[in-house]
Amino acid sequence: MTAALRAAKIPDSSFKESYPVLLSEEDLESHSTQPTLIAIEEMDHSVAAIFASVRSVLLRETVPPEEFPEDVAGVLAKYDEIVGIKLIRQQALDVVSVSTKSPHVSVRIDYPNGMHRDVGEAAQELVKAGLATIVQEDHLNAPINLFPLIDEIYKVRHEGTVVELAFGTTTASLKHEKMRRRASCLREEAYHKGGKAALKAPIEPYRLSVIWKLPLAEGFSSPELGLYSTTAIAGSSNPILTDAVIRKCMGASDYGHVESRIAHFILELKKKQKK
Amino acid sequence: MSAREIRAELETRWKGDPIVRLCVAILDYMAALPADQLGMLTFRALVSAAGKERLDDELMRALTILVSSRIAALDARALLVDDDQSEHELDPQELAEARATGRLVHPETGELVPEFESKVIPFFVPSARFLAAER
Repeated sequence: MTAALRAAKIPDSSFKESYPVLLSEEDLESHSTQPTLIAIEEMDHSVAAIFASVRSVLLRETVPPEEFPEDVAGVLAKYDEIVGIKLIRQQALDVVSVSTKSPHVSVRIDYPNGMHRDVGEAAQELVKAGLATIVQEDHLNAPINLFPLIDEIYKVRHEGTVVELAFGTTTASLKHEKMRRRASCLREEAYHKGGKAALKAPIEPYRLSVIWKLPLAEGFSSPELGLYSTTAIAGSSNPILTDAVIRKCMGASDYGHVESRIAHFILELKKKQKK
Repeated sequence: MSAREIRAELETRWKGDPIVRLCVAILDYMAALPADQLGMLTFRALVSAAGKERLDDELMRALTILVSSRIAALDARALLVDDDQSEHELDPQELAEARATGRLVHPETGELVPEFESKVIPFFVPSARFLAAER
């Protein structure tokens, strides 16, 4: 597939002309949500196809009361906060990265805050279809199930810092725990440990956020991996999760670290299943 | 029927069948848990209790036998999870009707639930018969 990517013809577009700079909201008026191939990038151990498209993002903003005309002040006075919702158009850059060292292909969807998850899932399908057109074959028809990684990562005590965990118990309760101070790990938190110790059956995690503290030249970065399933999926006979949310990366090396940890756990899981 | 008789019944009726081992593993798992920790046994809990990696045909057969009227150690139940993640326990009769007719009426709103199969979580609880035999 890497050869097909390297040979791909990149159509002319304003996205391509401006790349790597993004187009403004006004310039996006005439563009569709269909992804357009704008570049092929050669990395150390991968070849990446860069797609541009237009994505709608919901922005929630607090509006100061003084911005409203005086005659509505009386109506608004009874509210403590006035919130405005704006639907804005943004350029998204989605990437399909094909490793030259492993059989895995990663489809990386631009996922700014405020974007609905359904929009991300739809974008993933569009980008996969865009790639199939370029390489003349559907190579992305066997997504890896990441659901088992939720439990696997949680169980490895020193694997990053768990800052969010949701799980079910055989006592028929659901717990959603979040760590407010990011240096502390939920796995070691007193309430979490005490609750778990009171149960004879293991907890059943279905949502996890984990961060890794990585040294920078000065200070640290803390990229975050989110594996977000739901109770309905977790309770099904075959729970499947085919996406992960990766945020707070300071650069490609942070992103690479998170991806390498995902790859590590996929490999560990395969070894376990072979036994 | 005592717990020992339930196990003997399994051994007699399904002698030599690997599902007996799975059924017994699940019965032992339930027997080891305090009653207040038997409120919701999901597929995941039972997969782990049976020492499996995933739910397969063999385990499905074992569960069917444990729910069957002859053994009746487990009761099958279900939860409906709304789009806002609120949960409603379904009456076994309601679920049976929904599966038979392909239409599920929301227990609170009275409206039809579209694509209800993807919003229903099956789970199990020990039957009154099992609890009476075990405790």
